[in-house]
Amino acid sequence: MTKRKGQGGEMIGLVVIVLLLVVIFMVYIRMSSAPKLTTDDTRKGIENNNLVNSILNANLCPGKSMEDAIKAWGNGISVCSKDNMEDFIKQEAEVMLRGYYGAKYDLKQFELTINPISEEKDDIVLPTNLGAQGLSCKTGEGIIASDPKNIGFPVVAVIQIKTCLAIA
Amino acid sequence: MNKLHKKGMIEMMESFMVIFVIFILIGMGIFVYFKVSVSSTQETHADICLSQSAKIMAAITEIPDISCKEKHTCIDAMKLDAFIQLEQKEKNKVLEGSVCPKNITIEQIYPDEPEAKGPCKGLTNSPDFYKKCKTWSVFRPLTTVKSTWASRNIETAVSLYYPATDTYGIGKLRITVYSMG
Repeated sequence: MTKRKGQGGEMIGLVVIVLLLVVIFMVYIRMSSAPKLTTDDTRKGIENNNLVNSILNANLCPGKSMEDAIKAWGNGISVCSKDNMEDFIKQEAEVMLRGYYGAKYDLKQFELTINPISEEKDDIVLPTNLGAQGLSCKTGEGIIASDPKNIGFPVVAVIQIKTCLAIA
Repeated sequence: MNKLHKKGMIEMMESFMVIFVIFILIGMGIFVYFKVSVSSTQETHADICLSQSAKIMAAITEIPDISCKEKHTCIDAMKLDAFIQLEQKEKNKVLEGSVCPKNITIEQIYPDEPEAKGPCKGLTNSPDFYKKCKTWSVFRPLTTVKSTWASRNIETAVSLYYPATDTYGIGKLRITVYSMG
């Protein structure tokens, strides 16, 4: 009879221990799976759009911006006294991107594409490698129309910057 | 009698052992809970700081004290120069509180002038100032940042307007957020 009583006490003790372990485990699971505030994606989107807008606004020579240069290239005319507009745009865009990305320029985590609507012209792609590779890519875009204030005017080119997280 | 006394002692020791194990488990539970909750609070603090900085990053060109609203959304270099010379407390009012220590700088990246180095404070009146200097220190943390604090950088490009020459360049806005952790 005493032995049975003792066994009963031990069983209660075991149940209490098991219950405690379950509670601790549940608290741990709840804490570790709490939703996190992630702003990375939003930030990346803003970053790309800001970069596209800054590139388009920047003056390549007095009175002429990158946007003007792309328009001129799309329409087959030249600005800033340059004969080869494609090379000029490429060269200046590279200076801008190298300045912005610094040492990360050669890591293939981003890609700038200037895609002219005219089929006679090739896309400008920087850096000239396999392009942005990785996970979770985000794109910032700008549309260059011959007159952006008037909706009816034709689109001359589309400029895009795609950034991706590196593959581990 | 002696046998019963011995048995009672053993049972009492058993009970003490069980209570001891239970206390150890409770102690471990409290420790784990405390650890998790502290790290989760630190993470939340860092996330809040980051999202606050992302907000500044998105809206910096809209701040009337430094923005130019002529053609594009951009930062006026002359206004920026005047702004960086304000008292830290004045700047803090504009840049929304100091819950999170942060460092804000703008670095000129285009036009790319190899000779340009150092801070631009007080130089923007000259039309060719961008050939001489490169950075604007917009905001510094109000509190002393300890070397053990973690830091994270967020960066974006901003359009810089130079009123003296009526031209636009590109700047790199860098916000370094510090968190205790």
